[in-house]
Amino acid sequence: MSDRSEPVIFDEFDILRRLADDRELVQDVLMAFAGDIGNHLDRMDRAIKDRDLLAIRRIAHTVKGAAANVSADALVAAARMIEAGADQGDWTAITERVMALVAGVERYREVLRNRGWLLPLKEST
Amino acid sequence: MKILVVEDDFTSRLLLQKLLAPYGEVHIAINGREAMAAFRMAREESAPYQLICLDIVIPDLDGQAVLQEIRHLEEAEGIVRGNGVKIIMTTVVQDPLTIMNAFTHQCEAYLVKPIDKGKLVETLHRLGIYLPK
Repeated sequence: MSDRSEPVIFDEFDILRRLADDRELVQDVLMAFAGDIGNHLDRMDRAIKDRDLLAIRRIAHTVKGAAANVSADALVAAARMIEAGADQGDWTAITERVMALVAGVERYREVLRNRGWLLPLKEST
Repeated sequence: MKILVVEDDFTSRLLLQKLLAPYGEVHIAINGREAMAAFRMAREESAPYQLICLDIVIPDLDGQAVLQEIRHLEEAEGIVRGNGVKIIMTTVVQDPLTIMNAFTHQCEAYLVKPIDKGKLVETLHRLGIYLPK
């Protein structure tokens, strides 16, 4: 039996409802997020290397807002955990949670591809 | 109508820009300093913004500081409370103190992300902003 309290990776129903079933707008926003989230993750990586808790917290906060707008509930939860880790200055937690966020982003992209919102990855030859 | 969206995140910016585009000319600022520069420039050109959607956690100068600075500038120009630019806070921050501070500094509305088109339109209507005919 699945854990009902676990946040979903992508709540398609929610984003369609919030954006009044405008599929073109939803597609634009999802593609924007999928394309831009890597920049946030790169900045997060740099902030960790610089041991900059303030920057980590700020980036996690930005990711939380962006992820909320694209109904990526699991990423919102992951970003919230990173914020909490930064507040506590807990580097072990931050590192683990950032790894979870990176893995969550890959799962999110995969779900979008499987549901036809993103183009499938090209197979390497 | 001139609208300024103040957002540091590309996805949130794009979403608001697309939702607000039918209402008028949408400009973008990605941090607090840019927002203030845009606000001042628009007033100097006698083409002020009528609506600002303002995120709170943004680089350089946060949204609450931008809100306060705008209201101070308006007050200095003799603009009566309620007659200035309409400001909607658009943020993921939802603690009561932050919300109370925003209203204390005279924002007109406070929308918590994720942005919901229905709630945004309802808020615009409440502020007397409708789609141009």
